[in-house]
Amino acid sequence: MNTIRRAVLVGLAAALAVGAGVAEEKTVKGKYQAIEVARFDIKPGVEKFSQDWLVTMNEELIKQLQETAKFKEVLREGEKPSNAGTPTLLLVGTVTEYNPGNRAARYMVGFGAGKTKVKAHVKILDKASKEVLFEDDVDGKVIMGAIGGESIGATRGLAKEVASKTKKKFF
Amino acid sequence: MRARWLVRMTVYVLILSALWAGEILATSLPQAPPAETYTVPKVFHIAGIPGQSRNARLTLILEDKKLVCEKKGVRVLEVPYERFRRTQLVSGARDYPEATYIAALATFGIGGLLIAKKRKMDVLVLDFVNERGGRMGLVLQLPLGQGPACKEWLAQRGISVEEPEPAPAATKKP
Repeated sequence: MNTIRRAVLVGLAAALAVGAGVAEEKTVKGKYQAIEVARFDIKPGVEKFSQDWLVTMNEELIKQLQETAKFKEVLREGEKPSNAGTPTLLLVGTVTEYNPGNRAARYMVGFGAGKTKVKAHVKILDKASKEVLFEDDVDGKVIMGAIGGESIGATRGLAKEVASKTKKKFF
Repeated sequence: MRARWLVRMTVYVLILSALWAGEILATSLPQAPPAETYTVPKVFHIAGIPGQSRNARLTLILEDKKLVCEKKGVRVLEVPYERFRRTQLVSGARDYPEATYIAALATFGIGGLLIAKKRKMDVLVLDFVNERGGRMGLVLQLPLGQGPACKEWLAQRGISVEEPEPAPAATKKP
């Protein structure tokens, strides 16, 4: 008897938790019209990830977020939305892992040899309250491509993943 | 006869003194420096110019007051130096994908080894602000040796170009 009661209680608690989660999801869906993309940091120890890659990744993030066509405005660091009261998201991130790979190895050997990989931890916050609304690890890889594929293309892969996850979470 | 000679001489003296005075005046006035530009052809665009693809070939023109990027004679970007926030010069490399493809086709695959060959490049990384105060980035690959020349040109115009230390090479685990 006690076991049944306990099971019912656990079930109810789980249902309530799921319900609360769904309600929270609904509150963020479609709420935000603008997103600001801040320049990512580089985790100490990942110094090989150079400034040109960082700037390229930032530009790719802006481009991919624009291409989702979901946000009215994709802002750069320092820009303000056209309407001051627009609910805005803030995308921040840290590059946590980087493997430069080797194009020649990708082309000549294949099977994953010479893979370029960039991994980052991203957070999406409400810009006004600084509340973290989404947090995840994302990555971009170049495993193959035309003549092995260009290594810097990994930044585009990462940006595409961020854009896709942002779209899924907020729209 | 003598009076005529005197008049003529006076006129000559007046003309000469007017010319001399004009020359002094011209040299004493502050002169604008001659408009100069420093042009770097065969620059590769990596990121930062909307509408331009990665690896698009551009011409970089450093003017007296602004940086200009041109593609086939059309200006695709103009950034006044006063909008620069950070300028960095790093080293980079490019490979030869098109040449490799052709070489591989022509030699039944052996030419594909050309992909292992790289050419060193100078990479100009620029942070600047747009009209709305937003932080923009621009990455351009310049032919080797052009980076220091651009650095010198920019330094003459009061812009310091940082050269971050390259990352230390990975050490083998004992």
